[in-house]
Order: sequence, then structure tokens, then C-alpha cells
Amino acid sequence: MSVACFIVPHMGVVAACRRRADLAGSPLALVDEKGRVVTVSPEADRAGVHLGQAETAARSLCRDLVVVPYDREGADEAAREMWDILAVETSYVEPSSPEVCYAEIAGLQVLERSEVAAAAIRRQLGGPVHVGLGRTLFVARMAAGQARDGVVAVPSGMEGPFLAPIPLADVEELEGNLKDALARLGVKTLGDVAAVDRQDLNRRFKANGEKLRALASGGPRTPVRPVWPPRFVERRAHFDDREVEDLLLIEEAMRRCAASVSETLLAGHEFCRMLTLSVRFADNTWQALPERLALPLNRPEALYRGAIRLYKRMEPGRPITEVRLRAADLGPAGGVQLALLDDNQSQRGLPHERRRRLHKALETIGKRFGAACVRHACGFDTGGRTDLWTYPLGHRMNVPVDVVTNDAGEPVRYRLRESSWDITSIQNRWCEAEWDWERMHERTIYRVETWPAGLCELSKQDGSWRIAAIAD
Amino acid sequence: MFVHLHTHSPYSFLDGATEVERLVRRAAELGMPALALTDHDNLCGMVKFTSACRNYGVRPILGAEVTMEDQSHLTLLAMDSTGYSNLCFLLTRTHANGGRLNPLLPWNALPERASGLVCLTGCRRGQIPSLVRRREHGQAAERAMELRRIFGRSGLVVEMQDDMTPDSRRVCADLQALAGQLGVRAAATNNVHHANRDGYATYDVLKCIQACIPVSEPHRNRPLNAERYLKSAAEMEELFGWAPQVLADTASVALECGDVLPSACDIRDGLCRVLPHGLGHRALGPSPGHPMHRQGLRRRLLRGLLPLPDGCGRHLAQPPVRPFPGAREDAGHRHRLPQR
Repeated sequence: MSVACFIVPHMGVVAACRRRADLAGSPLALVDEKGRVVTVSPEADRAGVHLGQAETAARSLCRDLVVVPYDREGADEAAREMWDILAVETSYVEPSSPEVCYAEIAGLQVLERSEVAAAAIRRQLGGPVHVGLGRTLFVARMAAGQARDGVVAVPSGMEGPFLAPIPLADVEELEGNLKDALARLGVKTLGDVAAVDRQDLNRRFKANGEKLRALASGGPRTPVRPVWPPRFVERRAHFDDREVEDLLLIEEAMRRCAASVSETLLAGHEFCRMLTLSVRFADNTWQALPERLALPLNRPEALYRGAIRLYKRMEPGRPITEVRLRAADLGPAGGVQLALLDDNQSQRGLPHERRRRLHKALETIGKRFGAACVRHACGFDTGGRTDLWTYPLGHRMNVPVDVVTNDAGEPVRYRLRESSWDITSIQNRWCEAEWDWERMHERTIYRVETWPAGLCELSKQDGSWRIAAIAD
Repeated sequence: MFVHLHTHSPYSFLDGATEVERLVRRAAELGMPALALTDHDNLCGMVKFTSACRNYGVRPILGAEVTMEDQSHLTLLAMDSTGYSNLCFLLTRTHANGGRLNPLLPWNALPERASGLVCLTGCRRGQIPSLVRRREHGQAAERAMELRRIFGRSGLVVEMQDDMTPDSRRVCADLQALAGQLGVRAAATNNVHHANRDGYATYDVLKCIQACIPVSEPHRNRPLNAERYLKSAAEMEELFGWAPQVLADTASVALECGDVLPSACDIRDGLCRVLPHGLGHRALGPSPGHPMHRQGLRRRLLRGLLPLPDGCGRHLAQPPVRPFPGAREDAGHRHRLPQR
């Protein structure tokens, strides 16, 4: 098994030239929101413009330089061609960014097959393609960084000598302050890291010490994930070649599809973030409507509601012969997720862990799309410990409610302002305690789903119930 | 019958709020036949714990919560003297590998020293529970299978802790399913850090000291609630009533673990058998009850070799009274009069 890393440094330029044909052949620099150059065309490169440069400095070097903002979506669109080419070669293709993509190439003639794939990408997209081959993702990435429009392969067992001269400044996996700390100690290359005593490294850098050590010896052996082409679950419902217009029959078909898709997703502990409904007409033509979901879903009723929503939005206006429901962008509900009310995603782990994940996600988004796209709603929330431990539901309340409990003391119904809600399920429950010098205060909180549909937190303290937060 | 298999004492250093004796006394009050002590990366409290357990008629189970090289936790219990020996070896490796302040045990050290040990999958900082908490069930099963290969089907126990934190019930249910899938036992523990609810404030203050923060400041390491105390069998049955097999498995694990430390008399007799005639008595002093024992004890007390009982310290802690300038240091002890 060998990991190949393909780097197309001009992917952004390719995308910009496809969007505006008049830019082809001119010196071009793509800048981020801070005005730093992130990609340059070969013409601009020849004029001395390089990555990380300020826009003004780049213009001073090249008078005819055309500066355009970096279009991430366009670059993604162009990169799909590279990913498709690699997907023909292997089932394990993991894009890291539009410019960088990993592929696991097993079997014989790895080098030759990598060169063929690189040539195909070069033909399709133009510009140089750097390819690195190694035992791990990190080694392959470093090897690709050394390749100059060619292939650099690192044989198994030679990772240490290969990585030794690489300066830590080139290692993107390390944080800036860690690099600074190492530089102050005179550790400037991965070879220097390997030479430091392991215990010293652990003592000084704690968990980062192990990470450094691992990187110096080739990095973790994380396998390449089969991310491209994206996996999906699809179910179809035929009407036995009949043309159907009756909404009840169509809804029943969609319900069956949703139930079957949900069963598959639940079995794999997976969620979907993209839902596509397609209908076929008697003339064998298809009409499809995709939707990116606000929350990752895997429940049958939620998928069914999504399908109904799509069908109503689609408005076919004529009889159909087949319904197809596809759930795509599957995953274990990880990654960047901003929805705060989804129990299966953002509510994983303890509240402080979620808070940390959320901050990490916001940081990632801020880095990728610009700091301006993230707006904090701190003004709506009171600070302090409550913030740290409770779920961030929509409306915070502290109102007494009448609650009916079962034998186990769990709530089954509550009544608020002359209205009654039946509790259909308890999503979560936990206990919080606070103490002062006189006594300890404890309260038990239940996060419940209700009928009529709703979501709220009920808290019980000293035998009295209050509603702490509500949503929906 | 219920036995707590995961208990921390002050020897966990800022992670245990109740003294060893009080923990044992509380377990005896609750009618528990045994109690396990599992401090972080050490066995410092074992002699005191064993002694207290013998005094209260509770069978001591020795163990430790070991920090692995990826900072995850793993609870190990000694079933017999071989297990205790292996546990000592692993803890030595832990400190040799990570250093005094940051002990870390490499995963590859486990297979060679797994005999005689029961492995509990750990608290919420354990590798398997944290994977289950993140809903990464596939990886959790893989890790559990690796542990099963190391410790065997009977040596691996999936640890379930419902400490009334968010998701704890769901994680317990998933862990029980995992145990069923692997064909191993699951045990219920409460990750005890204090003997009763009142110990929560002390424990919280200790965690604040550990985090170097004032008590008014929130911190993720501070306990969320007061549930991590030595619960009675009835309270544990109420928590895990939905999984009676887990409670039965907990008792069976406790039954497998014996009292592994020899008693003081056993040590004395063993040494006397091994050493040449008379040398044992000379090296260890006369046996308790012998007139010479009392004299020797007094002599050692005066020399400061033994800890002083309450009441004596007030007098002996004072500087020795010198009868005249230039007198010998030990002469002061002999001539000093007790003061009231």
C-alpha cells in the first residue's frame, strides 16, 4: 500500500480562467480577504510574485498583474475533475483542499500509475502537478512538496532520512507557537526533532511531544478515507409503469423510501446532510431537486418531511411513474456543524466539549471564508457557569411549571400557561450541583421532546419544577 | 451485593477528597464485602488501604487507573499476587516512560504483563468510552477487540459509569451493547472521588487547586455534580436497574479479585524462615508482646524513626532541652521533661 499526494498549485488560477476567459495567459494573482497572495499563475510566478506576499508588493513586482479574489467554490468545482481522474485509479480518494488530494494506490507499478494519473490531470487542467508517494499521508505530502512537476517517491523505511532535512517551518501540521518554541531551542528541522531525547520532548511539550516524535518518524499511519466520489444511499419506488398523480400514493411511496434510507443510515450510525428527490415522468425524463439540510438527519420521519418539502417545492404538475430519494454527504455527524439544537450532532459529549468543538468549527470557518462571516451572539446570553454546562436552547426561561411524573420520577407531561404538553421522549438528563459555604444546591435537568412538537429543558430543584429553556 | 471497583483516594493527588480510612469505613457501613482502590498511576495508598480494610472486615482489591500514552485512562485490578506484580511493573514503566509528573504507559507494554490483571475500560476519559461518546462505534469495537486479545475474554470488563452527566445514560447503553457484541462482561462503577455527597465541595476545591483557578471561575475539569460518591448498593441498583446483568457481573469481577498483600506477620514469619537462626529477630526486632518490643519501640520513637501518636507530638516536636551547653543531641531527649 502506498499513499500518493497530488498537488495542483494553480487550481485557483484554473478556476478563475474558466470563469473569465480573458484572464488566460495574463499574470494573475489570487488574494484572500486579508490581501495576501494565495495562488499565482506561472506568468506571475516568473515575474517574482510569490505566495504570502501582500497585494501591493506583488503589484510593485509585476506592473501588469491582475489581482482577483480567491474563489473557493470555483476551485472546488475545478478540482472535481482531478478527483474524478483519481477515482478511476483507486477507490480511496481523499481531497484535502482544492489544491491537495490524497489517494491510496495499492498493487504493482505504483510509480508508473501515479505518473499516468498526473499526466491525465495535467492534460485536463494544465499547469504543473506535483506528486509525492510515501507510506503515510504526511510523508506523501512532504514528498509532493519536494516534487517539481514530477513524482518523488519515498521508499518504505527511508522516511527518517527523507524527512530529516525538512525545516519545521514547512510543516503545516505544527502550530506557529510550537514552531517558535522549537526554534528558540535550536530545533529547526524534523531531523533535529528525531535527535531529541523522547522523554525530554514529552516533558517539555506534553502531548505535542508525541506528535512531534511521530511526525519526525513519518507521521501517523492514518489511512486514506474513501471520501470521493461521495457515498450516498438511494431508494426508488415504482408505480408499476402506471402514471400516478394522486398525492396520497406519492406520499406513501416517499414514506417507504424514507423508511428504507433511514434504516440503512441508522444501521451504520450515519447521518446525511444532502437530500435529493427525483421523479420520473412517462416520457422517461427526470426532474430532480437537491437540498442541503440545515441539520444532519437519519430519522425516517425527518427524511419523509424533507422529501415532502422537496416535492411541493418541485411542483411537477403532471403524473409521474417513479420516485427516487437519495441521501448524500454521509458521515458520523462530525466535522463542522453549527446547528445547536440537533441532539445527534452538536449535542454530543459534555457541554464544554461541544463548546470547544463549536469554537474550533467557527475558527475553521473564519479561516476559510473570512473572519467577517462569523458573528457571535454573546449579547444574547448571560455569562458564567450556566453558559458552560447547559444546552444553548433558543429561549432561556425560568418559569414554574406543573409536571406529572411517572414511578421513576421522570416527567411525562407538563402544563404551562393553560396549555399541556405530553413528553414523547427524554433526549438527555443530567444533574448539576453548586455549593457555597452554607449548603449545596442540586438540580436535575431533563431535555425532552414534546407533543405538540417542541423541545425544552425541565429542571427539578428541591421538589419543584421549572422550565429552563425552550425551542421550536 | 455491590462492590465499587473504581475508587480514588487522596493518593490520586488532587483527585480524591476522602481519606482512605473514611472510604473503607463508609464501605463497611454500607455492608460492602469488598472495595477496590484505583488511584491515578500509583499504589501509594495500598498498605494503608489494606490495613484499614482488614480492620473493618472489607476485602481490599488493589488496582490503579493508568494513564496511557495517548492520555486515555485504563483501570487495572490485580486478581492475585502475579497480577499485583505485573501492575507494579506496569506502573514502573509508566513513570519511566513519561516521567515523574507526566506518567504515560505505552500500549505495547500491556501484552507482556497482562496476566493476573482485570482490565476495566476506564472512565469517560478512557479510550473506548470516549469513542462511544463520540458515536464512533466501529473504532470503539476495534479497540475493545484489541484489549480482549490482550486480557482475554474473562480479563476484559467494559466499565459503565452513569454519573448523571449529559449523555451518560446513552453511553452506558451503548457500552452494554458493545460488551454483548464482544462477549465480555460489563461492570457498573461510579468513579468514586468522595465518600458521600458532602465531599463534593472538597473535591471541587481540589480540582480548582489543580486547575489553578479561584472557586468562582468555571473550568471544564470541575465536577458537574455531586454524584461521584460511594453510593450504596440500592442507589446503584436504582441507576442500573435497566441492566441487572451488569450488576451481577460487577459482583463476579469483585469475587475474582483477592486480597493480594501479605500481612505483617506473614512477612515476619517468612523472613525469619529465610534468614539464619536469630538474625530475623535481630533485624526486625522482637515480635509484638515481647518485653523487648516495647523497649525497642520507645527507643525508636525517641530517635524519631517512627511516627508519633497524637499527644506525644506536642512535647516531642519542641526542641530538646539541653541540660548544659555542649551536651549531646540525644541527651536532650533523655533529660527533657514533659510539659503540660
